[in-house]
Amino acid sequence: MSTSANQQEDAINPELLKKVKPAKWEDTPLVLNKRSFHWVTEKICGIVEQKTPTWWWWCFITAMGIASFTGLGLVYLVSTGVGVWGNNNPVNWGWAIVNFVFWIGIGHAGTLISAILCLLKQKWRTSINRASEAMTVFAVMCAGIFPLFHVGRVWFAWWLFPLPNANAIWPQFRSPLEWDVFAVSTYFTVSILFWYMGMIPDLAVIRDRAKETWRKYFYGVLAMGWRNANNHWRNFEMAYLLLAGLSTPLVLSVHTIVSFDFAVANLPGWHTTIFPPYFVAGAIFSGFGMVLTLLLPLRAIFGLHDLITEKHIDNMCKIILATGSMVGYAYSMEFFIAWYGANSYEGFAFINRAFGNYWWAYWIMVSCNVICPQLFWFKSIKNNIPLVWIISIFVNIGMWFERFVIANTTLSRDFLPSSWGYYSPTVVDIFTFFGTFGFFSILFLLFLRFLPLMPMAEVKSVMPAADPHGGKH
Amino acid sequence: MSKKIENKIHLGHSVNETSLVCDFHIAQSHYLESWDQGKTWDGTALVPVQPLLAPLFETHSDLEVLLMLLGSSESSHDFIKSMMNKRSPSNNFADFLRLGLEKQNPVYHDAKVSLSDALNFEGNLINPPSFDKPELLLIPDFHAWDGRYANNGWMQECPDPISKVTWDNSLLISPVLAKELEAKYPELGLLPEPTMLNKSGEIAPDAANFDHGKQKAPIVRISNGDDKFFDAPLYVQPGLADYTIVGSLGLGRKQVGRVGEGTGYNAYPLLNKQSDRIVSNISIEPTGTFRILANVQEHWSMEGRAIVREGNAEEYIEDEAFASHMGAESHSPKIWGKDQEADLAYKAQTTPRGNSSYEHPDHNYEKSETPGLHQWGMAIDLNQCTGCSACVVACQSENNIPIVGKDQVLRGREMHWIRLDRYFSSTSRDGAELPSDVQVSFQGVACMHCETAPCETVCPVNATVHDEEGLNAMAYNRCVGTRYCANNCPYKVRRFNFFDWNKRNTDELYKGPLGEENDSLPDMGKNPDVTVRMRGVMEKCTYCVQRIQESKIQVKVKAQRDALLETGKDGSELELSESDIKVPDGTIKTACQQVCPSDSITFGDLSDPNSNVSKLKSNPRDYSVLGYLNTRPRTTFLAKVRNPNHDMPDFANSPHSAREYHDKAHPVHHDDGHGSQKEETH
Repeated sequence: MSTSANQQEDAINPELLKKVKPAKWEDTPLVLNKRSFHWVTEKICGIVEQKTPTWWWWCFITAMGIASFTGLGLVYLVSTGVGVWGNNNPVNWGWAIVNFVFWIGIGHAGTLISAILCLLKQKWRTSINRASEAMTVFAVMCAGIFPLFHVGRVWFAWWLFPLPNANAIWPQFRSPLEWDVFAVSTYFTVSILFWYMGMIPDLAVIRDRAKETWRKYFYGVLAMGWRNANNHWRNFEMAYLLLAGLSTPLVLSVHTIVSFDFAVANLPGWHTTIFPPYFVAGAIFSGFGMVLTLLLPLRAIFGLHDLITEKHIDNMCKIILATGSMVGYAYSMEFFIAWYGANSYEGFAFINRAFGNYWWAYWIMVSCNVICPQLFWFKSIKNNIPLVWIISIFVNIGMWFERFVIANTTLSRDFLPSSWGYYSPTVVDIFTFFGTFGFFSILFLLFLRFLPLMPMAEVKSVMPAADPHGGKH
Repeated sequence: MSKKIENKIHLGHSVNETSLVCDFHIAQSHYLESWDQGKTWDGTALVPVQPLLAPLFETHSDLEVLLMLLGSSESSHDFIKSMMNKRSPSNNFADFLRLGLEKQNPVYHDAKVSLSDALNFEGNLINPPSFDKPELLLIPDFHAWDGRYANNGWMQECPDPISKVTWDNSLLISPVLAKELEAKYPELGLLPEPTMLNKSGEIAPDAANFDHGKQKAPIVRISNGDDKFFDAPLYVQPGLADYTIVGSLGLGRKQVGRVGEGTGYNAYPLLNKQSDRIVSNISIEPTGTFRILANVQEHWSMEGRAIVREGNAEEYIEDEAFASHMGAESHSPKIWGKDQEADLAYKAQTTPRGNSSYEHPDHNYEKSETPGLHQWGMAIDLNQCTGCSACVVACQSENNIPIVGKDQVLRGREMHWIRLDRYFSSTSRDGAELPSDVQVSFQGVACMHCETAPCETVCPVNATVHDEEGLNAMAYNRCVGTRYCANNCPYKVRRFNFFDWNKRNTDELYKGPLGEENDSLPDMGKNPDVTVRMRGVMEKCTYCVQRIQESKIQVKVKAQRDALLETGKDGSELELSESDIKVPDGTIKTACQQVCPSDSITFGDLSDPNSNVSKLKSNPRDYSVLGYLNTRPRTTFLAKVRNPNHDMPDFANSPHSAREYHDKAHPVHHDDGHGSQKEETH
């Protein structure tokens, strides 16, 4: 950037410059304090190579304990029946689908950062993309639990896959739930591939530095014979670009299809065309919220301030601000269309959303998703790391409530008032959901312990040290 | 029962309160297990009654006990046989049992009806009840009658048609009394605070406090001054006389059995010696406790939605098709587009796309150009429905529908395939106010068998599909239980097996094959023609498909036999014409239709323009609920026509529900001309 700015400066008439008095444009480097390549290697590999810290063990054991709630909840569910949850008629889905959409949404930041920002050549993505991709993969795993286990007969859930069978019965390709199966499984597969492939050069670094035999074998196998050869790099770059291209539509398609679960249904409040873009914006919004929630503590614990700089945080805050505003726009547009459409059922659905039986959930959602991120207009707030962290948690809470509001207000009061009902979760619902945070934490802690937290090679490529001429040729 | 009598013996089906005060209890055979004799229904003959099955348990029939008391060693069978031989020696007992006929000279009895009692009625009009001196009216309970059915699960779970409460009886009070009681006892907690939506007139206020969707009813003590009292939960019932409290007899029994235990309150203490069911001058005291009532319908108002469409007789005379001028479909593009006016049979057979860009699926046989031979449909005449709820229980019995118990009803998981919606409507009122003078509308709602069913397109595994005769079929074996279909059903008629209702209690952990064997007794009550569903699958009304299939098979068998006799051909040479294998109209009756005492439900073939159901659907009163969704339901309703007396003080030109609809549908036009026509006269 600075290069082109200088060139422009040279080309412009100096007389004009005197008149205009342009401000000096300083691009903050993406890695601060003039760190060397070696420092980056030591820093990232050091996290994996150091002795397991005590805090890690405490966190890990706690996470295991929390995850056991999901395990026990699911055993109870499968052995007894879906009735152990709070679902009823008319609210047949309840928390399970809310949690599914919540986790799937979180997963979106990873792919956005690694794919779309890669294609857009946003170099700042390099220090956050690995952890975000890991987050994506783990979030999708958490998400998958819910639609799988919410079905009445989980032992037959494989019927959703188009497997040839003697009865010649195929899945129903008109059902958005069926599209979900393809969308989510594709997304999961591509995310894992992308994540793993990007990791190969870094795994090779750890392999080469390994002293213990198990490390040599473990990372040796994972590194798949990476020799840092020129043709390796050429293939790697090409594959990475292809995968980025492949994943880019997925960022948009997965949550579009998830939104179809609602939009394709004919219920007032669900049957709206705004859902796909609105859901995608919300997903990216929640994803970046979660990235900040995870990375800010890591930055403090591992001393990554030079790698995850204020610029990174600032950029993420801007994305949250932008997507949060889109979500807020969608909320208001829903109301406008409900009024403009002059369908009384639709109109009631939205009035009921804001002022009806779940009004509290609606206003929690609006405060967390629409009002909270507006604070990011202020630089002082974006620079206040603890505050950013707190706001990122509000974003997560708000996005969970958004799904709760969408899924439950519509179902609890739809067409026939005789069938109106009220849904509230049971203890099993709550614990099963709570446990998934433990499950997620287990996976994330293992990731921190055994895999490179940042793509060393990519970070190095955007460091000032990688450009010895300082932008001048 | 005097204490001087020794050896009191009770003969009964179950050990009940009477058994407890007796010294002995004799287990009584069910009437289906007993030999007996009785009068025919029209009173013309005395005939033997043959048991349906041998006693399941070691029980004794009434007759056996009487014979024993007489010191006779004769069996009831021999006794009945000897009675018949004495009565008509010419008849052979075995022949009678085989044929079910007896040659006899009929004896007619004259029925006597006297109106004198009715004409001599003197009501207590001089001292009408007041807030200080309310009166209590005791009625037999809907679920248990006088208490005899208190241990019957079907009856317990069948919602009271007016209060919609299951597994309990409540003490009904009027909104006027409720308000005054709340003013006197602010801690009572009878009515909820009006919500934002109530105040703005968006929706009517609840008639009870619903805590997480569960009705929380305050328990009060009702006493009559002579230290007789009972405690009962209050239920605010619009439409009730202001200071008359309605209690019901028959629940709250002490010795009732597993099913009826803990249900309701016992109002018998206030039933006086004359068995006069009206008790005057009672007092109501709050007890500070609450009871959770399993109410299956939380919201009582139709909210101006054109669900039950009603008109007054004058309106009907003026415009027979008044119902088709209501609802969103009356001002949306026509559902069938250019085919709107096509006849019913054509629409049923071809599912025309109308003006839609999308082709609607036609439900032909696979690789066949022609639609199914029959096209099933149903018409429900709202004019004739009294809300008796017999259809609910008949369906439950026919289709092996489990009861789920109070706890699960509270969680909104009742399984009834047909439910009876009950709405109240009133004159204009303040949005936050409960009306006290209401009109009641009933509507039986079961699966509508939509031609373009929203449930079918969302099932990911093809478990709910259309058959070629227009049935929306459920393949239980294929269902994995995503419940998407139930969400997408606008009529909310789909029912999900949240637990293995048929196998075990909900409070037990499922042990699979390691668990105990089922008690075979409940299984004997099941209809062998209908699948018993396991947990995790969806179910709903099938239009009694087992009855349809049975009739189709019988008609086909008969046609084949006739053709064989006529032509001598058999097997593949046999050619049957369509008219031979078409089930004649009226042959098939669904279970709900069969028991409907007012013939409100009609089922039949829409492809036959002369069938009863086709004729009813051609009636101008016919309409589809939520027709604007283009679901094209096969069950349609005939609008209700009210005929109120002009001289009554509450007379209104239109039914209240129609007034509510027009107020919401045309809020702008209401004041200028449109409204003056519909204005209330009082």
